[in-house]
Amino acid sequence: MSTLLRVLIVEDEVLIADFVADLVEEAGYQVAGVVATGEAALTRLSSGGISLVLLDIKLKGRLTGIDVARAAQDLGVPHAFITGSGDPRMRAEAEATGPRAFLQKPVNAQHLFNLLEAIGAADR
Amino acid sequence: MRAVVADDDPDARTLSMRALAQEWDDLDAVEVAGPADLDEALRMPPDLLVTDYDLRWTDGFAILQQVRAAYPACPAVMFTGTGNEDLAVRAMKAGFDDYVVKSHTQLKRLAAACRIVVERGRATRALVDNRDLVLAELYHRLHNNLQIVISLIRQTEKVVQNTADRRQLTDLRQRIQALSALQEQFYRSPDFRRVDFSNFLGELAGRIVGLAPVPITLSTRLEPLELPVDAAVPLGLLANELITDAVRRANSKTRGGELSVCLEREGGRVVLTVADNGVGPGEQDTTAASGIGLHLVERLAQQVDGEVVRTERAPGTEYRVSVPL
Repeated sequence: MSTLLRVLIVEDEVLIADFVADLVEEAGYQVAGVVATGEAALTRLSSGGISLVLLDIKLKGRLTGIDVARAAQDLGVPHAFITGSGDPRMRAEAEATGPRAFLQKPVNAQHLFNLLEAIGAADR
Repeated sequence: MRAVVADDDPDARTLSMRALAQEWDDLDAVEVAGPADLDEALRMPPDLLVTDYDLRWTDGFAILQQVRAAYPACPAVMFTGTGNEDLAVRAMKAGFDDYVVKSHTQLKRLAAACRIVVERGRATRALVDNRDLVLAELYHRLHNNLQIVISLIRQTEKVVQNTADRRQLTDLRQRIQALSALQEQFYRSPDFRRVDFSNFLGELAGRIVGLAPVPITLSTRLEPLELPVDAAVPLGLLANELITDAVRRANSKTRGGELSVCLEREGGRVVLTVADNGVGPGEQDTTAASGIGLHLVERLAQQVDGEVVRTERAPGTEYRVSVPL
């Protein structure tokens, strides 16, 4: 497994962020940062070196995960949503940003592993 | 305010539109005198339909049907001079919001009736929108909270030293994950009453097999089946226990593990079969510790009046659960 893949986690519930971070590390990849707001995510993204962004949609602060996804898309950084939102309009808006996956909470670890593996393989 | 006015009498159309214009300053009335007009009128959503009963080319019921097929919430009033009490009752049963007898003296009544049905329609839509918002928020909270519960159990798993205790926690986490997946299927169903059980079962088996430390070959044969929530939850949790247990048995290093999951209808019953090919030669069966799993299988089967039959095969074990539909 590659350790080059550097994952940014954008999630405002700390327990969930820790859980996702654990899964990423368990899969053999590196957690490059855990942030709770869209603003912090943009700052972290602009400093470079991120291979994948895992995003919740609803975040603390003014920006949503969808705003962060658009920025990631502009920078050519792959992203995926991990969300508890069941709002179909929000989902359509999120899908329009071209995510690599849309994982529903509670996250299915196997789905996350498959996603990491696919992006890790492309990264190698 | 976009009103579709269907009548084969041009004078009646004009009078109706004049009456509506008294109610709405911004009235945009679309006249329908034939089928092509109706198709054209429905290219944009109408706020109101006023239709005669007897038109030369069709009747008011067919027009209502066509309008509602495209715009289910569109308020509709039947305005006719050819009717009687029976027709009025039929119109209301067919889904018209009001029925007004056509005459010059009734034009004011037509306008007032239209105002009331349009206002009522708006109020209903606002209620529906609000209900959808509340549902979406509840759904979001529920899934986030379930995720937090799962995260907490996983954190506890990491600090528990004893292997058997840790496994109990892992099983507990899987049970909550299975319950969440059922909840997800339930939310996706159009009427919140039934669960796409075959889809749930396929995903469940795939997930449990995917997390096994040794590759296991999964074969599924799942007949499309929707179940009411009352039956889907116990049967889903029961399936989770059987598959988890079977994967543990099939988790063999010396022989390729195999698991088969089958869901089918037999007469008036649903039959779920979970079979594994057992531990490899010389390997130890480590499934004995999951006593709570078998207890759950028995209790959940009782809840749905199911019968559980366990068969020892050579090699492996098969569970067959039969539940009345």
